[in-house]
Amino acid sequence: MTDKPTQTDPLDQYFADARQNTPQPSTDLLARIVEDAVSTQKSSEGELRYTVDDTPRGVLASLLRQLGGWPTLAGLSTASVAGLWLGLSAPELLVAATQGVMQADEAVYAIEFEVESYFDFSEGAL
Amino acid sequence: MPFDASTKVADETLLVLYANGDADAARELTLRLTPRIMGHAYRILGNQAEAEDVAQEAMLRLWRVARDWRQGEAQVTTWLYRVVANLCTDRLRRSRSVALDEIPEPEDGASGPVDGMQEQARSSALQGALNRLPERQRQAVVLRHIEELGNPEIAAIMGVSVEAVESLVARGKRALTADLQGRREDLGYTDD
Repeated sequence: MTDKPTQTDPLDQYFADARQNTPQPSTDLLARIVEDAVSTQKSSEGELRYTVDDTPRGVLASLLRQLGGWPTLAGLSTASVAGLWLGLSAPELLVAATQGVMQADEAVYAIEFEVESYFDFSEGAL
Repeated sequence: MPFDASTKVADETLLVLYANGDADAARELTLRLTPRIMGHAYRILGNQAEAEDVAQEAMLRLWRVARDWRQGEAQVTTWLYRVVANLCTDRLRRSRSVALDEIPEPEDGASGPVDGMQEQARSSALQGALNRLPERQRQAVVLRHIEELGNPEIAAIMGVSVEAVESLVARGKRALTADLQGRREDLGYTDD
């Protein structure tokens, strides 16, 4: 078998010449287009502008976005720490905190409550 | 912010800068994109004045869409070529035929008078043959072989599959070859 030389597509020369001879825009046209750009820009001044989209695309970033971003995460963290503190703190501290909230009279009622005077638990009473 | 030739800022970034009020970004986009879309419109329409109108209209649409541009979805050039294709189609529908003698002569380059005339003759011959192609074949051939875009991008511009682009280009080139056959010697081409 004899290798034949690869023949160039005869159209390639036409295309190459066409690329060399493509008409270029006049300076007038370029000026008109820039003018359009400036007038369009002016007509929409004051509208909401936007920025290059540099939003992180990772899984954690996505989760954070769905939760509502950093402010929400800060609130969530504070609530979690407070819950942990309540869970771990000693009972005395909890009592002190509770008493601080409760009225003094309510505390007296709780102390003077006598079960026997209101309920009869003796056999056959019911 | 001025942009010199060495600045490699993406078209999309320039568009965002323009939307945020940067006039230099508009100038840079104009200089970068207008020659490409005007050249494409010229190859499709075969008329320089109409190609200029189409280029201006396409760029105007780009300025208008800048604020609503959805980043990362499409390349600016792909979007522009699609707009140009639609505008050309509208114009071709309005006036179905373009007489060959209406095709303006390409601007003279740096070559000598004889070479320049021959290049113009070749370019006009190709343009005449392109004008005789069905519109979709013409568009596919121009995008592939003059704009030198890849088939996937052409498919996105024309809204067809890559296979359809390949078919359009192949059929277009066969028709061009048949049309231009026998003119090679007249146009100064040699087969060496």
